[in-house]
This record gives sequence, C-alpha cells and structure tokens, in this order.
Amino acid sequence: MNTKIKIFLVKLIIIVLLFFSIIMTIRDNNSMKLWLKENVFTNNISFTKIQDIYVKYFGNIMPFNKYIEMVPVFSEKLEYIDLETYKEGIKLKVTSNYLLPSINSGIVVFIGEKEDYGNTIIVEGEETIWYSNVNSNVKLYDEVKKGEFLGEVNGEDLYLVFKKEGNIIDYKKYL
Amino acid sequence: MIIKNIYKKIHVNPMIYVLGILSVVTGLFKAFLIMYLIVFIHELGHITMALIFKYNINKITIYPFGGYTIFDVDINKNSFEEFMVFFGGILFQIILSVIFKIYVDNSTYLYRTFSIYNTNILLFNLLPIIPLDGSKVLNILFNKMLPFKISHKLSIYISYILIIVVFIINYKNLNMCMILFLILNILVEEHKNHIYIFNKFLVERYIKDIKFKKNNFIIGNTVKNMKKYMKNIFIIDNMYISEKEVLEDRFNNFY
Repeated sequence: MNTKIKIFLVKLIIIVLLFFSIIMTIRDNNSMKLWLKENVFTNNISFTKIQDIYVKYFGNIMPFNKYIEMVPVFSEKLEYIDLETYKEGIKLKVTSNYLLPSINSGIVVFIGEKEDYGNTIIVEGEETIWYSNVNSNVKLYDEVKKGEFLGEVNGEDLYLVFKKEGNIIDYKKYL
Repeated sequence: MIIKNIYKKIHVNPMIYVLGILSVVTGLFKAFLIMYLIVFIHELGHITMALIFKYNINKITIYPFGGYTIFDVDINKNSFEEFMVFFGGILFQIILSVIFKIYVDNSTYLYRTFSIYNTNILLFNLLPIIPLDGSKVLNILFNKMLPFKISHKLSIYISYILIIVVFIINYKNLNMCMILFLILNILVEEHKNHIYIFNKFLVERYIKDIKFKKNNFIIGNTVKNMKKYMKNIFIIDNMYISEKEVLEDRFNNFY
C-alpha cells in the first residue's frame, strides 16, 4: 500500500508541475493565447463528417437503432414576416416569441452568447446553421432532427447564419 | 463482505472503449453514456437479486450488448430463485424508467434517447440467446419439462440459430456484427463446457442433500434423463433406486 501511495503522489506532483509550467508559458504570450482561442476553443471536430463516413460504410453507430418517428416534429417550414441581410447572414422578423423549429438536422455544437447576435444555438449537420437571439430548449451535444423544437425567439428578431465548412452559403434554399 | 471487493470483479470488454471513442468523434457521446448507464443499472438489478439470495459473484463483465455476470453458485437451485435473479435486471430498468418519467422533461433529447434505449436493451436482452437473459428464462422452462442435459443442449442450439437470424437481419451494421461476434464467443465457450456443466449438475446431487418437492421417475439407469428441480428416482430391475446410488456407480467406476 505504501508504494502505491508513493507512486500516486509522484504522478500528482508531475501533473501539478506540468499544469503550472503551461500556465507560466501562456500567461504573457499573447500570440499563443490567440492561437489557442482560434484553434482549440473555437474549432470543433467535424462530428457530422465523421459520422456520415462511418454510417455510409458500417451502418449505425449505436448498436440499437433509434427511431426517428419518436421525435415530436411540429413544423415543416420556418415562418417569418420580413427578411433582411445582417452581417454574415440574415435577420428575420417573426411573430413575438416565435417557437423555432430546426432548419437542419445535426448536433448542437454551441449554445451561448455571440457578439452582435445574442444567445446562439449552432447546429452542425450537413451545413452549419446559427440560430441567434433564441432561448434554447436543447442542450449542448444533443442530436437535433429537422423540424424539431429548438427554443423560443427572444422577441421578434431572429438572426440566422448559414455556413458550410467555414464558408458562408446562400440562405435561399433553406427558407 | 461481498460488496467490499466488488470493484475488483468488474471487467469492461475492450469493444466498449472502441465504441466510446467512436461515439466521441461522431458527437454521439451523450447517447453512448445514456446507453451504458442503462446497461449498468440492468446489471445492478441482477447483482442485487443475487445478493438477496446470497450468491457469490465471480465476475461481472460489461459488454456492448449488456452485462454478463457469472455467479459462484450451485446449478441445482430452485426455479423461483433463478427467475428472480433474471427478473432483477428488468425490474431495475422499470424503476429507472419511472424515475426518468417523474424527473426528466419528456421534450428533451435525454428523455427520448433514454426511453428508446431502455426499451431496445430490454427487448434485445430478452432474446433467447446465451448469454442474454432470455436464454435463462427459456432454460428454466425447458428444465421444467425436459432432462437437464438436453435442455442445456437445446438452449445452445437455439442460440446458434437465432444468432444467424439476427445476423441476416443486421449484417450491414458493423457494430451489430461485432456484438454478435462477442455473443458467439461466449456461446461457443458454453458449448464446449457442456459436459463439465452436466457433470457439475451430477456431482452436486451426489455430494449434497438437496430437498425437492417433485419426483421424476426414470426407467433404466440413464443418468442423462435426470431432471433439474426434481428428485430423480430410477426404476432398475423392478426396484426403486435413488439418485445417489446410481451416481455412486458412475463416479466410482469412472476411471
């Protein structure tokens, strides 16, 4: 037991030393911080790409299939009153506190505040869509099907951004 | 205390780690965690029932299709005990689903995924394929009607056939094939051990004094016709001969 405790303490000390050495190197190094922010904290693994490749050759990943029909889908198309371009995407005027259905199927990769957009849900599927100014009803890393309830729009303004592999794409075919 | 060293007895099949990594890179790790929570609770059900009946636990292995617990226990035990240990898994899954229904919002991904997996794991484990739970119930039923040796063989053959059937339905799904492969390995092991299992059944009856409510008459001295859950009475040369006497012959004239 004594040797086990010693080994554990040695491992613990190594971890602590590594931790502090990393903190000390990053602390005053701004370019490193920027690199980290852009590459580690922003980019995600492209879950959907890997999933699509695997499912194509090997079938479903989780052993017992999920039934798509179980999802309460309640709206086919997104209804809006007015549309105008806004920054990288579009701004839609919708009915007050509109119950937002998802435009695409995929995985929720981000829920949080985005500058100039408000509370945003990013659903990554074949295309990546940002749904902004929304109070989310889904949780991070949930799987979402097209038409599924995402949340309530905070007021009358809904912001959408449509991207594919980092590039902005045309919104017209989604609305 | 049995519970004290239980963590030493839990093994995890490597395929689960493979599935785990796969689920992480495809973003499906929530589904993975939910599924193995259900599997874990299911196994816990079996273990709890077994501890109530004072079984000793030999080894608990978690496989992608569910758990497989090996008990250090006699083969000759009554069918009620066996059924209850089998039922423990289902019972705990039912309790878990009630807890989810009460505390989890049914519009969430968590609840929907949980219900689907809970049902599917329950149904899959009811398939009468060794080592799944379904095979245990089928084996209990067979043993009520047929001799021990043939019940065991029959359960094994039915398992082979059903594995082929399930394979034909699911051959395009790699993960399902992997699961069937793991199940097949356990089944083959059980098949190889058939003769030792039969022997253990006999040795227990030879050595121990087990009380039975029912009698089973066997004409001749074919030990193969001995039934589980019953006292076997042989009729040889117009005389009633007890099990132990016939087994005495077998074990003392063995080599």
